[in-house]
Amino acid sequence: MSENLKNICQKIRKLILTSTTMAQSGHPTSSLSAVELMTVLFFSGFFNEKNDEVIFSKGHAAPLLYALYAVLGKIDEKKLETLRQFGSVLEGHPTPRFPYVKVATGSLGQGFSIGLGMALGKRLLKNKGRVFVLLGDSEISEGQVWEAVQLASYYKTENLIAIVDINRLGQRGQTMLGWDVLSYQKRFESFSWKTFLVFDGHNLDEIKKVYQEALLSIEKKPKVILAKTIKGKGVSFLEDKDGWHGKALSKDELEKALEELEQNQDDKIFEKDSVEKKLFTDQSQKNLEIKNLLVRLKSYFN
Amino acid sequence: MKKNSNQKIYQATREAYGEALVEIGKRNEKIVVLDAETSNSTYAQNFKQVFPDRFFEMFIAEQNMVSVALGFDKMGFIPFLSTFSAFLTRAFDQIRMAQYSNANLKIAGSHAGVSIGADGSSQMGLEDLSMMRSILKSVVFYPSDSYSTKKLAKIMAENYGIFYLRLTREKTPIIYNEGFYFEIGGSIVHRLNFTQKFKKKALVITAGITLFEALKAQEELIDSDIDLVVLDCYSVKPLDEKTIVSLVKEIKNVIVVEDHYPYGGLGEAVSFLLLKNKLNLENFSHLCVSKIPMSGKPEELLAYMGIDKKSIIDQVRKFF
Repeated sequence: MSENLKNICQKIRKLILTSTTMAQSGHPTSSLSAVELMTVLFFSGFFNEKNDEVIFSKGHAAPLLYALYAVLGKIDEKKLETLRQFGSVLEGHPTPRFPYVKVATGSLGQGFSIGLGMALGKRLLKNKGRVFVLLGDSEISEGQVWEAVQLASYYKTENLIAIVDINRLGQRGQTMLGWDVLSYQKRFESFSWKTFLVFDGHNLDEIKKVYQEALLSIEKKPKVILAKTIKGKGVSFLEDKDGWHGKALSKDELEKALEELEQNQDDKIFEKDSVEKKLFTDQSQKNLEIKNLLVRLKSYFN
Repeated sequence: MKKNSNQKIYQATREAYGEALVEIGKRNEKIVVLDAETSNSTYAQNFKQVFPDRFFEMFIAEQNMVSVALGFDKMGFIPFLSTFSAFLTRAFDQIRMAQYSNANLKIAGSHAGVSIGADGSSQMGLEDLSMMRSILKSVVFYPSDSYSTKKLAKIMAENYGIFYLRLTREKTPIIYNEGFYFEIGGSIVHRLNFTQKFKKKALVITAGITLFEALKAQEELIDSDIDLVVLDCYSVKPLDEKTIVSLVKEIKNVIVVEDHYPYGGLGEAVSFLLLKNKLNLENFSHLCVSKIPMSGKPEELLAYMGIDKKSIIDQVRKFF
């Protein structure tokens, strides 16, 4: 299963990088840091589409959001090529024009409060579903986040699960706390939140274990998963580097990045999961896929 | 409610809002009410007493309140949220963003204008009409009396979208009843004369607390040679274009009066409408809050800002 997940992660990375390069803008590195966190949520049975809600409060990770729905088969993978283009529902930051999101995000901190409202609403409806909110670490500086943190603990919204992608870097440099995950933990715990730490936010087994713990927890407290991640994860020249926020790769850089991802790709072919089967039938198909992609890219740039 | 010596019944619009919430809540179980630690001032507490499960105290955190309300909306509820109009301005980004989520929010801002008096400038909402009008598809109501407040609150509950209800601290006389009809884009014309004998005619366009100043001015001028018509523009957005246009075709001296700063409120809305309809006027005057306010009695502040009865009469006389 982890092998499958690993391959899905690589697939999503390629889609993030390709779609942003085609758009010639976007936030690939902020999307790459949360790939494993969201892939495990979506593909390991933790997210129940019928009852649960997911909000990308860090709306600039939209390329990740769209890639996840492409891999889920909800939208055509080819549609990712329209990212950020006039008329496309795949906007630079998510809006409900994209049918799988309910609220627009991108003004930081707000998605978290909206998630809290949904969690309170679900409780009132006696709906057992959960609300997952993906936050960036830079976003935590917003005063509104702490307004939501204290109110969630007051109302003991145990159905609210925040996931903080602590990739250390903001738009212009390091955040106030950097990778000091323990300080984040202290702050959330002082507001009576139940905290869960992920020391390697790219380790699928660790993430899975933490989701299990968080979802099995019977404490009547809101929950936060604090995950240490690497901005630009998966591409050597992007990883943990300043100056790559909100910047798409050039065509040449993309080729290099895709090659790198290819080398790291596990060769094992999996059979069980139908979604994945559709995506990775065999190695030659994979190569063909990349080749087609590059041809499309070339025509796009010429 | 209390009766004054003239046997008029008085009730603050904010108090009417509280009563309206209970009525609306009885009819629709999807109504939830949020308030930012001001429910004894906005009277949202009335709802809490009857429907404690559907009332959510948000404490003093307005930004969070607006986004939480949006979350309730997306779970199928109809959220009414309230605080002082002044403090809603700190949640403008959250309101602005809500429009991109096709939100169904019912926002009430109380203690609007200098007419709150003694509490001083920090508590006065003087930019709220401007802020709420600037939301592309918003509807903005500014009722003057208890009856219209209840009717407009009901309209808010029954119609989808971002609505704003501007509420007043002071008690005001109840002047409307079943004989009056309220709607989105509506207005009420107050006329005392129906003959065509007057050569001097002026129109006061206003809403909320200053409506009563205009009506007092109208009463005082009844035996003069000036016919003063007063229009209650309780629907600040959209405006009752048809009525305004037809009145201005008849009356070429117009005064807009509002307890709000000059920018983005009723005055600018009306002047744009007149321009758009290519209506020529003989006189146009905008009486509004154009000085930095301070503490005082409501009537002192209305006089200081030049938006009281006397200022209206003075302005009318200047026209002729």
